[in-house]
Amino acid sequence: MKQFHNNRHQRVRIASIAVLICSVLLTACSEPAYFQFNEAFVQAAQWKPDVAKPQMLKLENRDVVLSESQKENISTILEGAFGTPDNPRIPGGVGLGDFLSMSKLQQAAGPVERDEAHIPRGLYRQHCAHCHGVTGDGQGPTASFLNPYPRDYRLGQFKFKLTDSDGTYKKPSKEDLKTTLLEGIPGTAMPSFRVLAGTDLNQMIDYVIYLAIRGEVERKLIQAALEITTSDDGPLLVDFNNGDKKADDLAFVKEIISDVVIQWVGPDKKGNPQRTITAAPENWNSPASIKIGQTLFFQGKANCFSCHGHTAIGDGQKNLYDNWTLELLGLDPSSSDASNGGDADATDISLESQLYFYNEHLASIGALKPRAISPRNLRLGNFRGGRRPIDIYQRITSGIQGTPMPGNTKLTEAEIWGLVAYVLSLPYEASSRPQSAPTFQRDRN
Amino acid sequence: MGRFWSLLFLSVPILGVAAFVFAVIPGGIFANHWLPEDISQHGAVIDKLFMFIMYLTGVVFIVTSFLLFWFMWKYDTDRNTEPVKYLHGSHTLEIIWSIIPAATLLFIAIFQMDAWADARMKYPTDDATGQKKPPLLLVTGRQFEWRLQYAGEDEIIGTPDDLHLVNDLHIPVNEEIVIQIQTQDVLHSFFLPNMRIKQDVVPGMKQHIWFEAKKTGIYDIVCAELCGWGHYKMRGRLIVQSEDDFKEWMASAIAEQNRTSLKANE
Repeated sequence: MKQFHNNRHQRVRIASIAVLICSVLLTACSEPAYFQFNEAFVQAAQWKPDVAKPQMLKLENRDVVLSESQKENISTILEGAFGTPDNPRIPGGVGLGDFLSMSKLQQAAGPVERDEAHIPRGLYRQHCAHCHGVTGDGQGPTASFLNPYPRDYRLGQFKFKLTDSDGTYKKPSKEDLKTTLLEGIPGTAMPSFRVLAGTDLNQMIDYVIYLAIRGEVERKLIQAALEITTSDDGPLLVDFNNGDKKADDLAFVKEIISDVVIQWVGPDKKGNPQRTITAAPENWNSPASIKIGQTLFFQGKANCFSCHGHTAIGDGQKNLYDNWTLELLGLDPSSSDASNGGDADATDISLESQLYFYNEHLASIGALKPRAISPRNLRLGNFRGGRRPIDIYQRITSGIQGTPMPGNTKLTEAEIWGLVAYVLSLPYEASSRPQSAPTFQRDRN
Repeated sequence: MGRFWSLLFLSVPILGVAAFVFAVIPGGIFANHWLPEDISQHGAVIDKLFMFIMYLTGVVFIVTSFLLFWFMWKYDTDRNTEPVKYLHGSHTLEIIWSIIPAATLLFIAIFQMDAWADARMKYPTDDATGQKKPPLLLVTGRQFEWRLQYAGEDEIIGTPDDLHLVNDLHIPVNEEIVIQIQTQDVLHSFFLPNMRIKQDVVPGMKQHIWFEAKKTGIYDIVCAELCGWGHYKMRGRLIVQSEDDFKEWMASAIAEQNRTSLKANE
């Protein structure tokens, strides 16, 4: 009996220790979330590519480097303007107050929970963050398992939208983002969120725009800080301790934020309008029209085959990169012609020197491993940005931002619609539909 | 410890039965925990089978649980000083408790045959022509959504007139529907709780399911096979419409898919 008594005491002790460990772990988990600093962009912006001598480009050899206090300063500025993941803030005086709703942001932000009225909160972390990351950097816990990688919003570039026209990329409208949430992106890991209530979607859309603006402002602040940094002096962007200078510095920051915001809110502060596509001619998908498209596919004027391949299975180019990856390779996406699709040779640097930058500076900070982007296989019938004729029309005429797919403004209407018809007919060509493998189904009858 | 353990074991049948009773009571704290509303043609048979087997196993569960309790209570060590008696088993008893369950199982196997045949073996045919009914659509499960491909006017899946959608499955009421199901990646299970339909979707296998909805409304589509971290969000909606509404919806969905013009902020 004595023995049993001792055992019991021991068990109680073990149980209390287990409870203690669990509660410590739980407290650790409830530590407030924070936005990750864009260290990868700092590395890319400091990097001056010299293809000939990559070994000369060690960090200590660079003359302009951001100091830790400058980086902290940028984080402080961002927190002042945009708040934290638990308490988002809309920067004032930049025309964003009417475009984004504070109540929607609050519902989408913060940890996943329900308030007193049983309304869900923390929608972004519930549905988006595991892939797109709390910061919107596309580096959530599941990101490295996915191909293609989840979108990093901070570049402020989005692929599938109906706002682009006249050969220029514009920010997507809220409707564009909603279409992506409703339809998902077939061929990628982005699923449809159609079952969620419309209000939930609107909250998530506002929050994604908020993260995109915040991320782009962060990039511009880093660039601005680098511009005023010399090898001897690294002044702070906003000197919070210097009363006179502080007001001027903050006005400068406000200007940077306004520059980003204006691209989102558009001329009438309601977001960029959809473009207009005039109705297709009656016989746009006639065999004759498809023939026009097929001919163009292989001609220099449309030049589709150079990337999508002679058989349209997307094997024309193997070493192209999207803008998000170019940055991981130390190349500036904004200056690269390849990102506008004009010149595929711009990225034609040996893979060794490209990977040198990633291995040296980004692998250690956990950036995703760079991968080439493959041109779409047009025979699968998987249309990521939608399969309506207007969607294909938009891809051909306006391109896909952030990727080597260019917009083509040289084609006539009849030629564009011919290409649309040809692309839409490709999955149904006999060569796209090989005899299917035997299925293991009994014939039941 | 005395008779603590026997009382603990007694609580199992009591709480177990109570959980079922509370689940059935409408409007109680456990309301909506019983079977979901059945809106299918064949569901009543399946529900009856379910209830029959539940009553059968319920009675066995209660009797064996009470026997367990009774022996623990009666032969508690603190209250029994008599030495233990050893038995060498009973041949008669063994035969009885082998034959009764075996016969019961055999009975259930034969009793359910028709229900299984209707739900899984007798592929629906067209009343007029006697031909196999073509599938209305192809449902493709993928992590983590249901992609839908309606056969369109030519009733053949994989032709240019197909209608491509995601998650929102529209069907007409009072009509036997055949659906072809497959998966693009891993094992899923296509589950329509209100239709009493659940079919594993196996990679590489082409399968058909069929059912007839008796009531319009919006119901759940869920994945009933753990298919990855996002399994819980692999949900869709089954939208049962009158025949006219269904045709109208189909026409507008096809028109949207064939859209060739766009006005600013339309």
